[in-house]
Order: sequence, then structure tokens, then C-alpha cells
Amino acid sequence: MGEDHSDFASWYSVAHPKVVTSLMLVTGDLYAAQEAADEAFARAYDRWRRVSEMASPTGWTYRVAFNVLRRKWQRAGLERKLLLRRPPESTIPAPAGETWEAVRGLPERQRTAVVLRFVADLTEAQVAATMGVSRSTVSSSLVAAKRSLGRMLADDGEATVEEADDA
Amino acid sequence: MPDLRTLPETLARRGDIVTPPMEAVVRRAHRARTRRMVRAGALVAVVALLAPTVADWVTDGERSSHVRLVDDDTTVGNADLEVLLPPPVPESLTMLGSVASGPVVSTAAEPPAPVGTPVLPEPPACAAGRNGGATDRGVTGDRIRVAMTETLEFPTRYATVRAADPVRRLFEEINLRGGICGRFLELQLRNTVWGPLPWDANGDVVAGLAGPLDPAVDTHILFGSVDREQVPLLGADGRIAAHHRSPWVWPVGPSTAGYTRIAVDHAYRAGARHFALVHDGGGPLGVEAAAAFTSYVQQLPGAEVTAVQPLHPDDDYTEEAARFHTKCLVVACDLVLHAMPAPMATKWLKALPTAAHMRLAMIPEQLSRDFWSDCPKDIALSRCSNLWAWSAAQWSIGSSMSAPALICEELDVDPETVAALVSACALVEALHRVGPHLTRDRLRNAIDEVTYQAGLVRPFRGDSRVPDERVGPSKARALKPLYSTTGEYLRLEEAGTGWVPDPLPNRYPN
Repeated sequence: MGEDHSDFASWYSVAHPKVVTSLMLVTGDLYAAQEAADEAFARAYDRWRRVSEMASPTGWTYRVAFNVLRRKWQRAGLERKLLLRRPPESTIPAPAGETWEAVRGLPERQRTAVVLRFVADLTEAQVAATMGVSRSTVSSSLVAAKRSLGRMLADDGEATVEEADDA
Repeated sequence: MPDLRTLPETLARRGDIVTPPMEAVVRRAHRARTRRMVRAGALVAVVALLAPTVADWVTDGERSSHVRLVDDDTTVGNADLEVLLPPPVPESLTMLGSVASGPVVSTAAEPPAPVGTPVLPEPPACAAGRNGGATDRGVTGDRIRVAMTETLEFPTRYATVRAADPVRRLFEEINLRGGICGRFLELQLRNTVWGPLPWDANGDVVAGLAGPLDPAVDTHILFGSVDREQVPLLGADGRIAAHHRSPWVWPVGPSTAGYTRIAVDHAYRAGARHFALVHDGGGPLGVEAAAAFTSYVQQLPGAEVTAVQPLHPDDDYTEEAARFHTKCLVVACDLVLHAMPAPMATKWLKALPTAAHMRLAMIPEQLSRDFWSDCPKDIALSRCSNLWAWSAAQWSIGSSMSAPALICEELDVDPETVAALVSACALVEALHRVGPHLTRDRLRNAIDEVTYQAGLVRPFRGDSRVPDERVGPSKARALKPLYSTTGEYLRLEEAGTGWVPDPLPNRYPN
């Protein structure tokens, strides 16, 4: 019994850098992001028939990758509270350095929302599903993040809930 | 500031993010599927073992042995059940993003393996009384004897004691499950110092494990004792080339050349361009590091070797440190790599006028807590705490290991002792695969099969380069020491580099 993976390769080549970059900007660790993303894409491949029918295969893969990372940290028994006080030195490559410096100061929900919306290129609805929150929560997080990040976020043309209400 | 939307493409174009080819994805998916099958099989076996007992408990009510084990005045209430349930995810773990399940995106739970998935080949059926008996030296009908080296005369004896504990627990777990083919694993600690190799070709062990921080292991390998006796030895740290050239040794990590390239490459990718090396001028660790260092830095565009300082154990280091420091002031040294025994490193760090603005990295001869805790308090926070140590031993067992070896994932280890457990886990897996007809030659071939997944490095056997990945993992990650504000050593922790691959795996100095 085999699944039809004919459209997996084309999606994978586009989605892989987005998922890795998103994870990297959320965690500050490029190498861990790559490893977790590779594991998640392998699982996506294995379940492609089901994953391909989802509203956002990229969102699903991102969350699987994040769960892989989280389990790895649990198993390794890292001092998580210490990491919260002293985040690990990042392995962010140079072109992403400014971005990292900008987003690392955001609250975690805003950072995740920004990264998934503008780096992974998900819609607000898909971001909400990936994060497990409501769309209005995503919208308000993005609005708050935009105030902090300013011109880094190009106008995406998609009205947020608040902006739509204001119009 | 880059547009966020184009950032993934930019990083991919630069090569900072590498998308593995489809073949790698397919291969990885297959390995994960196989792993699930093995675990499902182990679970079925456990349930099958317990089923009669559970059935008794269910059907006999108060007359069952399980009820009688409970004190008459005690009842199992919710409090006890809560102890058994997994703890909730700490809030701190959600700091980096919520991962609650939602209606559209499914959870990451793994479904059952699809029908038709290839199944791991089962080892030959065997049991006590049906395993061929004494098939080789160190093997009897009911025993497999393994020796682990230790150094009674050195202060590092504590490391063997600590490393032997998880190895002993592993063997006990295997033995509780009936051993391997009806043979129980027996672990003996044997002193290596001031004497010959504590086993020989006609001796009574089928394999040896290298205890941590054992200075005699290198000597026995270098002088050919291990090759002469032809007993497999697992767990040498791999830091000198001889560990990788002996056909009877399976190290747990890359060579010093590999570590050197890893440390330099990591710093280079972070923007370092001026590199310096301080090394043991007389020992193989330092000599091999120097050769790999100068060779690799010269290959990096825009990088240069600012200073190379050999040291000798009996020297004072004051003059050398002053000279070195001057060089690293004139041209700022982005990375100063140290390749030397730990005591030499302590002496050097004390002699150095300052280490400000430098990233210090180390390929220690031995990763010992003594080095970090012996760092003088007046330089602990300014120098020792700035010193990362690269280490390769890891305890994560690969995807196609058998159920007994999966026990290894549950055992607690630390950077000093993990190598011993990695090698013990690999040995257990290899013994499992050999089955009843256990000989040293068959064991050696089985160890070769598991090296990559188990975290060992396969011997080169005369090849100067092995073209494929089966030589074993060649990556390391950095650890850094944590000191209190008063300079007291607390512990080692991850430096946040993640696992960094050797950019030129399988290349060893001559």
C-alpha cells in the first residue's frame, strides 16, 4: 500500500526553508531547528495523504517540529528555567541577525504569530490553527507586534480584525 | 532590515539553510516507521507477559495475589494514581509557543504503522539451553563476560565508578528480561594502569568497554596491545587518530582533527575570521589539532591564522602568554582554540593577562569536572566560564535499535560518563543481533553494523577515507561551565551550539 507523494516534493522544497527559518526565529537555534524540521517533514511524508488534505500542511509540520524540539529538551533534562533567564547563545546566521534581535524581545505569543505569519507565510486563520488560539488573538498579537517592529513588517494587504473594525 | 517574507529564501540561497534531498526524507520516514514497529512489538510483548497476571487480578477479586500485596488498611486512591500519571508540561516550556491541539491542524501523535511496512529481521531464535554453550572465550551457556577499564591509582577513579552505575543498570535490566539468548551479562571492572591490558586473546572476556578518564587506554591502543589481543574495545574517546586506526577499537566521537574543524567552522559561521590555537606541543592531541587547525583555516575564505602557540608541560608559560596576548591584541583573535590536557589548560589560563573579547574553546583531553572546579576563583568568571568544551558523546540511540537497547534512553547520564553508556548500549545491541553463535569475530561485524546508529565511529581498517556515512556520526556540541558569582563551579550546561557537523568527515591527520 503506498501513498501518492507526487505533490510532496514541490511543497517540501518551498516549505522547508520557511519552517526552519520560523523555528529558528522562535528558538534562536538554527541547528536544532533544522534537525527538528527534518524529523517533522519525514513524518509529513509518511502521513502525506492526510497531511496534504489539511488546511495548512506547513502549519502542521511546524507544530510537529516544535513538539519534537520540546520533547528533546524534556528528555535532555536541560535547565529550562535557567534558559528562560539566560537564553542560549543563538546560532542565527548573519542575514537573519537583525530580525532575530528584533523579534527576540517580543513576548512569545507575538513572536510566534509574527514568525508564522510573515516568515512561514501562513494566513491568520492558519496561524491561529497552528498556535491553537483564536483568530482574534492572532490579530491582536500581530497588531501589537507591528507597533514594536515597525517598518520590518511590510504591509501584507490582509486586514486584521482590529483594522477591519476600524475601517 | 530584511523583509521577513524573503528571509527563508535568502538563507537557503546562502546555504545557511540546507534542504535535504527527497531521498533523505524518504529514508528518515522509513526509519521512523521501523522504530514504531519495534516499539509496538515491545509493547505487545510486555502486555502478553502481563496478561495472565492481569486476568487473574480481574477475575479473582479479593483473592488475587495483587490485592493481597496491598495493605488491608490501604486503598489505592486518586493521590496514588496522580503519582503514576505523567506530570503536566511546565509553564516554562510553553514560553516559545503554544502547542495546544486545534480543530484544523492535527496533533503530532503517531498513528499505527501502515500495513506492509517492512519489519526488522529477527535475531536467530535462542534461549537458555539452546544457544550453543561456550561458543568463544568469555562466553558460556549462561554468561557473557564484559570488562570495563578503570584507573584505581588516579583521582579519576570516581569517574569509572559513576560510569559503571548506568552500565550495570543496563545489564541488570537486560538480565531481568532473560539476558541475551539465555546468557546473562556480567560486568567486571579491571584496573588498567601500571600493567598489561587487563584481558588477552585467550582470556575470559568477549569484549571490553573503555572507562572514562582512563589514561592507560590510549597507551594500550598506541602500543598495539589491543590489536594484539583482538578483543573488541568500545568507548575510547576517539580524540587521537590511533583510536580510529585500530581495527579493534570503536571510539565514541570524532578525532581531534574533527573536533578542531567543528569548533573552527562553528565560529566561522558566526563571523569569526581571526583564529588562534594554543596546543600541547608534545602530545598527540595537540599535534593533531595543530595540523588540522592550520590546514582547515587556510581553506576558509577570508579567515587567517593569527597565532599558534605550542606549550610544553614543564614551562612557565608567562613569556608565551604575554607574547600570545600581544598577537591577539594587534589582530583581534575571534576564536582561541585550546587543545591540551586539562592541567595544562589551567596553567595557561592563569598565565594569560586577559581573555577579554575572545571566544575561548577547548578540545580537552578529558572532559572532567576537576578541571572546571579547580579553576582558580579569581579567573573563574573571566576566563574559565568563557571556555567552551566541545564534546561528541551522546546517548540518543538510533531508530532501528532493538527493544533492550531502548532501555538506554531511560538512563541518566552526564557528559563525563555518557561515553561508557553509549558503548555499552551499542554492545548490547550488537550482542542481540549476533544471537546464539556468539564469537568475537561475529560480534565485531555486528558492532560495525550498529556503529552509526549507536553513536560510535567505525574503525578505518586501513582506509584513509570512507566514502559514505556509515563511518559513524561526526559531530559535536559545545558545553560550557556555570559558575556562581563567587567563582564556585556549579555544573556544565549546553552552550547552545546544537550538534555541529564536521565539515570534512573521515579526514584524519597522518
